[in-house]
Amino acid sequence: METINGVSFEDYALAAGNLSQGMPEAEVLQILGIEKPVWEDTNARWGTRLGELMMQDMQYAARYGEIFANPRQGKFAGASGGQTAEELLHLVPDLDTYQKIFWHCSVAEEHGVDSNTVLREYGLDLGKWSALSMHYSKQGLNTLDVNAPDYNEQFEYYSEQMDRWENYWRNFYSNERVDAAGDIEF
Amino acid sequence: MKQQELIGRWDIFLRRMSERFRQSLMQGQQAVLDSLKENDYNYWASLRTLSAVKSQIDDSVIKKIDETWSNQVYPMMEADGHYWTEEMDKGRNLEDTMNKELELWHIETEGKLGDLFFSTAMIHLSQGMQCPRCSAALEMKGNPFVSHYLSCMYCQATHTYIPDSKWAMPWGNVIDSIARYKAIKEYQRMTDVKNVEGTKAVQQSAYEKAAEEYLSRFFEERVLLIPATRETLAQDKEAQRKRLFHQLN
Repeated sequence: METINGVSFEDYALAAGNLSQGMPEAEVLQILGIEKPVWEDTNARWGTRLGELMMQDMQYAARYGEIFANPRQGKFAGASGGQTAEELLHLVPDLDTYQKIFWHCSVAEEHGVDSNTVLREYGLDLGKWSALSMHYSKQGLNTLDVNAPDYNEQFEYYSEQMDRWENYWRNFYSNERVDAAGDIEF
Repeated sequence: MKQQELIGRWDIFLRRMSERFRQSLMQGQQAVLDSLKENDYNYWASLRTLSAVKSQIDDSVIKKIDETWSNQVYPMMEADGHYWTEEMDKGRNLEDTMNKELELWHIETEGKLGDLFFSTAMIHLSQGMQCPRCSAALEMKGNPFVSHYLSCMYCQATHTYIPDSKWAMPWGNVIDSIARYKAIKEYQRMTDVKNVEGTKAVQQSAYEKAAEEYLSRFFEERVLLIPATRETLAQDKEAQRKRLFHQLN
């Protein structure tokens, strides 16, 4: 098993997942049994290594995402804080709500609004959102099976939701657009 | 002479849009740089401002050329005669030029923003550090943006240096953006070489050569900014090389 400063791939993903869900860094370091300078070196090197591994095999990205979204396991099993996607579903109970928030974040960013600010409006933070994104991504992969008899129907359903929410938020923010060439006409 | 009138109006429209585009780039860049001090050196907030400004220029200037062509100019010219294809190309060529300039503007603005942040951060991070045990001045060794261990030259005690996260968190993005800006000529050559004539093998070879020159310059600049990054230079360069060649394929 590959390790960097004694920290495995799984422990790195768990640490990152717990940090994103608000676990204090000091607690993460205590669980891993390392000091801050060692963690910063480990974090930087695993970040680079993960990029290399993902280019060789996308399974690493999927595995990292799964662990990141469900960080209360392994060394962090007994730790405080951190929630699984299932525990968070009361905040984002269905795909329609998920698409609404996704496009809100996406379009807001184009207008200079930080995603964290948007997520807070829904009682979420980046960590919780990552866990929920993983849940709905998996759901999407299971539902959109090209071999299933209802594939076309499901595809249209997903596309309609995405288009509806994207247009909604673009319209919402359109009044804030600065038109740099509004006075120039043909 | 309706043809001449329509072409004349289209030329004037395109010239005004071109002038407005250049003005927007200049004013937009200044707004982004000014935002850094205004938001008390919150680098991420200024990066979001950059993204918003770029998006606005793209939507309200570049995309307007195609919208105006499709909704107004083309219907009139098409009804009038068969000369519209050449006029359509004028619009498309201008959009292509603007898109390329906007990308280079992004690299330049992000680089200047990074430079502003970096120079201010270095002032704050290099403010006199003292050994908590013997009060001697502690010499900064290594990367001032990351936590690491420092030894006191006088009493040999080892201390953990932890930089203020406000300055430390963006450091990777900051030095990358400065290095990218410094290597912008090599970057342009790398993107231009995709249009070189020849077989796919010739194009690939030309791209790989230009990419190596870009990477060399990029990493040279990174090491100049933070000499400690030389320790992981080979590994970082290899990771970037794979990414660039992966994009090509």
